[in-house]
Amino acid sequence: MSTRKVAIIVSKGGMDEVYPSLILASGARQSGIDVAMFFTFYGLDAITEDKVDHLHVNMTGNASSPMPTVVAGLPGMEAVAAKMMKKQLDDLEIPPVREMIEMIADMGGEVYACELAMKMFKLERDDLIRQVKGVLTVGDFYGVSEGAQIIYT
Amino acid sequence: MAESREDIARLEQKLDALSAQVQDLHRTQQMLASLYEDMVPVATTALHSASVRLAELEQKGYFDFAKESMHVLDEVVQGFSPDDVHALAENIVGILGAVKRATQPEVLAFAEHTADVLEGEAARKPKGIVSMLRQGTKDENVRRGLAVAFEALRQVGKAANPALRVRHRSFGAALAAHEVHAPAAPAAGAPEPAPAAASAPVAAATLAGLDLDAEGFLLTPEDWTEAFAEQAAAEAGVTLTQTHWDVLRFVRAEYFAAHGAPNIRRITVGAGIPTKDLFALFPRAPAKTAARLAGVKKPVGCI
Repeated sequence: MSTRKVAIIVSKGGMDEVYPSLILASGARQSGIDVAMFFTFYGLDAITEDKVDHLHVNMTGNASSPMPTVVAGLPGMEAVAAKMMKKQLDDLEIPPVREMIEMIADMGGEVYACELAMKMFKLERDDLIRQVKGVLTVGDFYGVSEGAQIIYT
Repeated sequence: MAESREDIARLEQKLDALSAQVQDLHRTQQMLASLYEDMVPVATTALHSASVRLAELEQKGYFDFAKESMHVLDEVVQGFSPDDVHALAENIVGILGAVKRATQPEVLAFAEHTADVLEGEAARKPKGIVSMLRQGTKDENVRRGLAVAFEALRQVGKAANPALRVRHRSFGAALAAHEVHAPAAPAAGAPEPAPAAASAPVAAATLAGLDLDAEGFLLTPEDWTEAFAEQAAAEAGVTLTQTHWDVLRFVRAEYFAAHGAPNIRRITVGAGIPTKDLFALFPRAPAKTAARLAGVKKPVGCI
């Protein structure tokens, strides 16, 4: 059997921005495709212990959102939108972000953090969830993702 | 004597009128104060987070950046043409009127009161937005405040670009179109009512004497035999153990319990077998392989 491989870069930390990558990754593993996930910049929120359970959804500047931008910009709106989205995902039996990442790791998907972004946000290895397999530079990433199709989100 | 009584009567009248005025003023002030009180928790939270953000920004040197942007502001000011200034002069009376209204005693008193309350509120711990909402919706004053805020937003909306309203209409149309399509979508999780069988069942191949579909799944799940599972397992390079059989029986039970073929998460939770082990039992694609060996349809869904 061919050993197809994908490398998924997650650079944003909104709940709506993280889920598609996680679903791609878990779907790939279940289709026999190898997966490496590389979390960088705000994407690090999704693998940061203190933040992974509190990802928000930013509705401002979203042309597809039913919510007018003036309302979407009110304080606390990201949390409200995230709560609504969580409920919808829950109804579809889609697990929370933390559980999705655990699943991906259990399926043999590899989870990596970006070294530069960690320095930028003053994060230590201990601040990240335990599923993180390593902290990579961009060069390391290209090593890990050799022969993979790279998906940037 | 009579004269002085008359004086007193007149004085009383004046006092009455004055007290009515004072009461009026007091009422206005109370209304403003109650509106303010409703806004304070929100404002406190906002201020708190704003000060934290500002401190962060300062660290990152954003304010140096801001200094630089003062030049830009200069340019903007210099960019005013004589016409603009003329237009400003024409409107200055209106602007001054607004300023004058804003400096009326009631408003100033409100502002002063505001400062007092703010001092008290600052000592309180900011509440989360949800608990605030929960409390707030029970409070009549907050509801009144919200009504005022919404009215203000409505006015802002009215004044906004009519294009916005056009967009809303088209969104509504899109929503309506979506609702028309929605019932046509198959019920999530339900086993497929075998549409292929209804039209023309085409066996792409056979295994253990049973017909398969194009993807190698058993055409009729009811026909499944253990011999089929063993042959399909051999094809997939799997040697069936007791745990394998447990998974296959769970998958079949789930499928016929009208849930459809279970995804990997449902197998993990339902059969109590960790995801890692499932990948060891059924290499590469556990849910799909288990479904094939169990003789049920391919699992649908993204998880």
